[in-house]
Amino acid sequence: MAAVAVTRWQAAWAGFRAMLPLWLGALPFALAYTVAARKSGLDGLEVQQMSLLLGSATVQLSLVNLLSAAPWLIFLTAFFLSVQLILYGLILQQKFLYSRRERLLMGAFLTDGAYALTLAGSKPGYFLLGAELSMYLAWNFGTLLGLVAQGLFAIPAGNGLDFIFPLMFLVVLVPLVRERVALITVGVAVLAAWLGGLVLPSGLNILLTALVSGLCGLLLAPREAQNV
Amino acid sequence: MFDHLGLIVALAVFLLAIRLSGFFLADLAVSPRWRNFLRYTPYGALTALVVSGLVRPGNNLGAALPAAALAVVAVRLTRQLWPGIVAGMSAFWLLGQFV
Repeated sequence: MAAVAVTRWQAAWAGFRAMLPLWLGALPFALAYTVAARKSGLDGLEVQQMSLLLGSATVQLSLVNLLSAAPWLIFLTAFFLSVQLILYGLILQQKFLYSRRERLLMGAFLTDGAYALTLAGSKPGYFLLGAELSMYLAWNFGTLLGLVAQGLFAIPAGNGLDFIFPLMFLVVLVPLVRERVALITVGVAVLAAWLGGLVLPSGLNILLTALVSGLCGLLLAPREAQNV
Repeated sequence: MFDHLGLIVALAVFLLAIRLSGFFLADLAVSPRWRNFLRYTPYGALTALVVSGLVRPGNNLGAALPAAALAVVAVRLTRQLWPGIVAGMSAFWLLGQFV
């Protein structure tokens, strides 16, 4: 029993540490969010509440621009920005077979980055939870820092730190591309994502590109390939 | 001070449902064709996250694309992730001074 407990927390700690490089990108994002949120009329407590309760940069940044919109529009926007999380949960569960309690715990904090790192390393167990909590902590710490620091210094524009987000997803993707079908699928996905990004909100674009890739793989891969 | 709390809480519950739903939908029986389909969806999701981050308005593509290419080479050569991040970020900042 004791050995299992140590292993779980070791896995969670490994996930937590693996996300640390992304703190570099999350903190400026959080600072920018606090500036936008305060400008939209939210008070400091509401700004922090959003980070604590939602833990989603894209949804929060959209919400601060939609505060006076109809509720249905706010919820629809949140859905399209987050719909890819449904697919992530499906894929992670198929691969790692979490217990019902683990699903409730880990699903609650699911983000793009935690999904990508967990899948890339094929890390079972509590690695996902550690990664999620790391980013959740970074996001909330950044929000708090932004609230405290506003007025004390100006956030330099064009700092480039947010480049770490697409870079991280790229370095995770590269080792996964080990076969011709995967390479072709990625090529098709690049085109689909670029075209989709011209007209679709980000969450919907991610979902549709994922579905296009799945279809591409289904058509090109041998029928017997079932190594999920 | 608490004007928007109701909206924030409702959104939090909504987001939680979205986050959890995939984990529980997986309990439905999945045929081999569906498993094969799902096997390739991560490539698309990750690619979309890369592309949307690179072509975001205001991003310096002249620095971002070469930096991304260098990151790919670094990962392929070292078979580790962190050299890709270090190489990519360094190249992005350096190129950003000139491009």
